[in-house]
Amino acid sequence: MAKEKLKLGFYMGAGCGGCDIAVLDIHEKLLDVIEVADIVFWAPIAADAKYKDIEELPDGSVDVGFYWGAVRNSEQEHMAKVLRDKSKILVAFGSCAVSGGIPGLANIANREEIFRVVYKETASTDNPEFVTPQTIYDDGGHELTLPEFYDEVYALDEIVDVDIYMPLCPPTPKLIWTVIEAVVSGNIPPKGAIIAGDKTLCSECGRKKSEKRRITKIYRPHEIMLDQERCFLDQGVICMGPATRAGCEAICINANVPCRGCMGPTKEAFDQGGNMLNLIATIFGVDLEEMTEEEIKSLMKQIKDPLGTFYRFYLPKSLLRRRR
Amino acid sequence: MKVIILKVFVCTCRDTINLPKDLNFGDGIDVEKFSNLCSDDGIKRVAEVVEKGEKVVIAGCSPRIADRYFGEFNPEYVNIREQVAHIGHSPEKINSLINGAIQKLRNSEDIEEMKFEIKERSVLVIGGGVAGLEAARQIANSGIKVYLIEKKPFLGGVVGTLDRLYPKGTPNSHNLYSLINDIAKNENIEVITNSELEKVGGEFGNYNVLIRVRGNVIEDCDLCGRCEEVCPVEVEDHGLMRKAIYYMPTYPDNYGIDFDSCTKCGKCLDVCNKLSLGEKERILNVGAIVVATGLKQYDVEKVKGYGYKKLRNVFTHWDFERKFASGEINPGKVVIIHCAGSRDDNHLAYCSRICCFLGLKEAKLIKDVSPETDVTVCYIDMRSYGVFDELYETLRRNHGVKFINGRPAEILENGNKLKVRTEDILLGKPIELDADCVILSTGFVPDAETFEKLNIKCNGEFPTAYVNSILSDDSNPHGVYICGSAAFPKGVSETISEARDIAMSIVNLLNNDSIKLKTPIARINGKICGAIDCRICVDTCPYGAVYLNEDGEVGVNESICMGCGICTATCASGANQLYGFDDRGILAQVEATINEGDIAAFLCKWSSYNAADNIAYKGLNYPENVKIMRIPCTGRIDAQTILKAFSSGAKSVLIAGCPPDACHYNTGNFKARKRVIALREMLGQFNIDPERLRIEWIGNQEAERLVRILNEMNK
Repeated sequence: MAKEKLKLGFYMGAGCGGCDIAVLDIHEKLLDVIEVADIVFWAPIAADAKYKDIEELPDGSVDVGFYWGAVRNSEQEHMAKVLRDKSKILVAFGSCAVSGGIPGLANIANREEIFRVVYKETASTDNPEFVTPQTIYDDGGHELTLPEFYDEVYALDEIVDVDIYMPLCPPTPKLIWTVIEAVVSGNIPPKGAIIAGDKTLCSECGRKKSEKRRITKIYRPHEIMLDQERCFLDQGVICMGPATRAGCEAICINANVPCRGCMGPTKEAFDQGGNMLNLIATIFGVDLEEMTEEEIKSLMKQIKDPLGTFYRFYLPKSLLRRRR
Repeated sequence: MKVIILKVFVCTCRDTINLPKDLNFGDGIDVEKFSNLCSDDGIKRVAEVVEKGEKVVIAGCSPRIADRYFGEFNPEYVNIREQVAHIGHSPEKINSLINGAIQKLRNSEDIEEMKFEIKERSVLVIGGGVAGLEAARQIANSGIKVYLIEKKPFLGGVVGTLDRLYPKGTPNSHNLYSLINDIAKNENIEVITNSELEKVGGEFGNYNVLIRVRGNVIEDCDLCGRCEEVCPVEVEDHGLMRKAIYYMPTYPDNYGIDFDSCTKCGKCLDVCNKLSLGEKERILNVGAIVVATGLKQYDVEKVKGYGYKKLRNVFTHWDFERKFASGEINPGKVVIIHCAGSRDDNHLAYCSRICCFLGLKEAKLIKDVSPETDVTVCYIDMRSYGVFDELYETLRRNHGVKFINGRPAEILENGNKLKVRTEDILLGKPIELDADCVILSTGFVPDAETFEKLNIKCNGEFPTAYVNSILSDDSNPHGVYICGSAAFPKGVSETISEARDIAMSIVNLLNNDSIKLKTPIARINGKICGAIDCRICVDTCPYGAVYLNEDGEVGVNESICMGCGICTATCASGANQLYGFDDRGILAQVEATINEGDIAAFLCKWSSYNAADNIAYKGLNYPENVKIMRIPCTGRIDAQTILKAFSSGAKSVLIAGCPPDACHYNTGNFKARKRVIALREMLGQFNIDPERLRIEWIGNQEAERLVRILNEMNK
């Protein structure tokens, strides 16, 4: 009898679909995967499966479950729990599942504010009665339901136990293949493993650094002709490299775009955004250390949205997690 | 996982500290209570526990005092006397403070004891001027071998070229010749002239130094002078012309070659077969290094209006002294200009401290030799302080020297003479002075090349931040001492006393077989920071202790790391950790100490922490919810720590350290300030009022101000 095929399951929570595409980006290797594994479900995008069918699977019957996207409503929470129960190994796939990702930035607002903007204030919305999604609606005797939209965004491991973390937005084909290969070969990484480098991104970046690291003016990438050889920080452009894990092989940087930090912090750093802001502030100024409060403020003001810049992919896992 | 055994010693300071009813910190943490832990029995008990490899928390009086008894054990101190009992706070507060200390210890790496063998009981003294000579004499007299290297062919330095010393006009031979003779006859001193430092490796107790030696010392030179006759190279040496090979009446007693101007034509070799133009390298192994490289005159040619080197008879004070003393000139009317290029943002922004005396000294020299000469001094402020003011008064009252308050704008040629245009501030109008000769009393710059080779950061300026006379003694990295005018311009008497101080320190250092240090040291985690990483921490170290090694990786020189943590707080990846004040340790301490509504106060141990103690001594008080955490420097506190305090429930966070420009570690407080203000700009986005985060500079006597600030933050 042929060896029993591995069973894989994919689910997307609060994400953008980029991770689905990323999996497809392993191209014909996907055929190798299908050779040894069955994709039990890939909801909701690639393969049809009803939640009921997934819920009825025996617990632990899926070898590896991949969850991408963050958790920000009751449906996602429910499915995260289902996926957890059904999977022997649960992988938090992509920045959103690992640390909230871009949707995680919604933690600087709350449900009420988000609804007000989305269902009322945007230029293209005409909703004078301010009708917003309700969890239960009685349509003439028919009860219609919608998932509950949460006040804040969670990373996957705030909801369920996670075995393997795969940061990046989205994970590169190479890293995806590393994980799949590991699973197929039975060489499963230990619990809590992060599929990434241990070092900082700078260790994968070949740009030249100046002797004296100083920032006297901050540019956004489009405001300056970027030198391809020199460190972005030396050019006054914020690059999250020093506060970010290696593993992506500096793909953005090689395309002359500064790092935005989607790999998250290294294992000994506990607040990626705070650490980066701290580092940038340390190299503010010219030769003299002493700067007036006004000078420091005026440099900080050149960073348009500090929170969004420094916590772009990481807010729900940062120390403050959300707006107070 | 590593098992960390912890013991908590609680001292009630002769039963003056009320303890909480329940002192229980969970899983197997023993608590031992003493009423006087500083007794011999108490100290012995702590030593026993530490000996077994256990970590200890000591709760009792302020670490200012407790460190006297327990410093060597590296405990985590909890100040329950000055910061709980004496200010009438509830004993229950003790639990959260001790808990914080326990968590900090649990999550910190061990501070390992480092042992530096003193392998070389010898000293390198760089520079053969008064500073180097005196230091060498004192060190050698205590039986320690000294290598004295001098880049010129003769000893003597600046003083050796001059005629007299201020304030009395003492001929320099009063002290220089006897000093040089002491050096020359001392068997513990090897003088190596015409030699320069090339490279330094190793650490204190065991430096290996590469020096380059040019030419040779002729033991049996008969001073026939033929070499000087045939030498075709003439150079100006501080106002006097001489050949590239010359004799100077100091040491060694032979003709020597000035290799900076020698063209190596070889004519001298034709008349003397003892001479050599060769170069060789030598390696010296020493335990400590004295940098006594002295100073240089500011290049006053840059002050365009004064026409130095363009106008005849415009001299610097040194040039003038040499020309005048040798009888080359004898002017009838002299104008001396003080602050020539000093206290001027376009030139030297600072006061060089000794040039007022030097200008006055030249005036005295002129008047002593030629009383009929008319001397006028133009000055901005007369900075002849203390006993030296006598010189100014003597010249003014007894010698008829005229003093004009004003800085001359320009010197013009006026036939054979000179015309000095200046303002007389007291008369309130511009005036012109005729002169045969103008003396520019210039300021000074250091001979900075050596500093670079020793990795002492000073950007070509005087290494004021590095020098222990400016800050407290423990802010000077061990083993390298800067002596005399190399540190900042000094007179001869000050230089001599400093050289003696330094000699004393070095003798104390080298009289040990080894030095044990058990202090927090920054270390780089090579698993996180690799060969081509960001390197930003390298430049933040005030001591040059963080460096790039041969593989391009960031390393820390343990022997000069002072444990401030500025580099650790800089690192965004957690690779750089100050052991004993690790990120994990501090974050755990904050979490365990801070409850909802508390005020987290990170107080620098050199300043504001003592102010907090003073609050108790002065009978003042602050809100009970203030939780003080003692830090090595405000520069150790990073955004992560502050955010942790807020996320643990703190309603306000205070970071307080030494006054601006007075950071114990030079720049820690400025870096902290940049970080805190930058973070405040982002806090609004988290809906935290930026006013809830403050950074303040608080000296140790400013208890009242600290109380006021803490009360404001509690509102």
